[in-house]
Amino acid sequence: MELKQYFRVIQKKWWLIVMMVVVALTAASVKSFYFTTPVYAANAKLIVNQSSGDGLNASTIQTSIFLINSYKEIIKSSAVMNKVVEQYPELGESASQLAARISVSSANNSQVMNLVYQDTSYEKAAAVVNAVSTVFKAQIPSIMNIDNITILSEADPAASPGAINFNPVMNLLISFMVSFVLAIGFIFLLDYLDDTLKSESEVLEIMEAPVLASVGRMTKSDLKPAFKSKKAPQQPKAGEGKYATIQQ
Amino acid sequence: MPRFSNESSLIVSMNPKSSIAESYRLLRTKIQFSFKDQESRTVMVTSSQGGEGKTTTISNLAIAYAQEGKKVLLIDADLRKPSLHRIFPQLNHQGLSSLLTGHCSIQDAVQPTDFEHLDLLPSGPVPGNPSELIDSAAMHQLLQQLKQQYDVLLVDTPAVLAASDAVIVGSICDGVIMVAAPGKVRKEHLKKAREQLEHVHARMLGVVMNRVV
Repeated sequence: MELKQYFRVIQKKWWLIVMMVVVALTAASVKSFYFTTPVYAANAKLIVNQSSGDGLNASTIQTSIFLINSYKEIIKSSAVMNKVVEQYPELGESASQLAARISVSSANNSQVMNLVYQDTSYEKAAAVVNAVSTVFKAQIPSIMNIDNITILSEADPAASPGAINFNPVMNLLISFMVSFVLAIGFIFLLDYLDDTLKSESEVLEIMEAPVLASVGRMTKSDLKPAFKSKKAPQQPKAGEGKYATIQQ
Repeated sequence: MPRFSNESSLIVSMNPKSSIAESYRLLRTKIQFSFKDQESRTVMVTSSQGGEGKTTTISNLAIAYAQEGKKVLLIDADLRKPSLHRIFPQLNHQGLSSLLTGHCSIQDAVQPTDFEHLDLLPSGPVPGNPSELIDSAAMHQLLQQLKQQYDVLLVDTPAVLAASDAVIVGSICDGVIMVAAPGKVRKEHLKKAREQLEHVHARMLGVVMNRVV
């Protein structure tokens, strides 16, 4: 019974849900198609491995993996970033800005580091990533006394990937969900704040008098006399016309 | 909801088979049941506020009574915004107000309608002092007189909270029907209207839920 009442409340105000959802979807699509500055991400991969020549063994690999954690910090340090700004003034970014927007990650137990930089222009993002990896590779020997960085892949400045923040379907889906839930919540709030008469049981409580009749809402169709059959009005038969002649 | 044009809301005669018409007939039956022992009776139909469907209810109830063969008189005691003469198209140059001020006789004021057994006493010209007219000995006597001639008197009044007229009429009628539109009327207003009617010992027969979705 309770559940039925909830459904009735929603049913009564379904247009409100529709309205809110439509508004939200429109806003979301306008936002994602017209007001979003596309952001591009360029990435480069570096691998950390000792090229000491005695082949691969578990301990050197282990060491490299431990080193990666330090390298993640070192890349963002001013030791590297200042050098990037010095050597590549055309990037027009300060060291702190670069450090803030570059992200370094590595999969667990892998020697590969992933550098990602996001910018509104892909070309610039690619340039920054490449500059950072080049400078980092050059700086590591002087910082760590070890030369174990190899650039696996550079970002291709000529490529034109899609923007990472252009996802209209997802945006619309999210806005639909959120607005739907909000609309439902809003309807229940309205219902809760609504102090108008709602049910027959309330009448008895307030008026201490019975409900004598419950009259439905009149519609235009109620006011048209109900026809017994849906047949079209019959064609006049012979002799029923206005001009039937009297047999003399 | 907009009001329909003239007489279009007389669903009991337009579409007697509809469920709404059936509701009005049920209302009629229940009212009669509450007056088992009385020969003739006066019933006031009102609401707590305007726009809940008083006039539609009283018109259809009147036709439901008339269809049963009862002699019915509809009295438009809403001397502020009379509307019954538009629903049963009649001239309104004389009516209740002119009767109460002694400007005409009952025969002049009461008019037959298109429905058999159903007469209408329109409000008459809108007076400057509606409450005083309604709250007069003349009004009381008039109702007593009309009771002799009809089986049922149905009195339409302004909303209870809008004017004191309804409370006055309620005190001299045998029963009161309150029209309430769910989703429109606030509970506290209903309660206030009930208290005002209780105060003059009006007999609340019950409530008509109107425009139930």
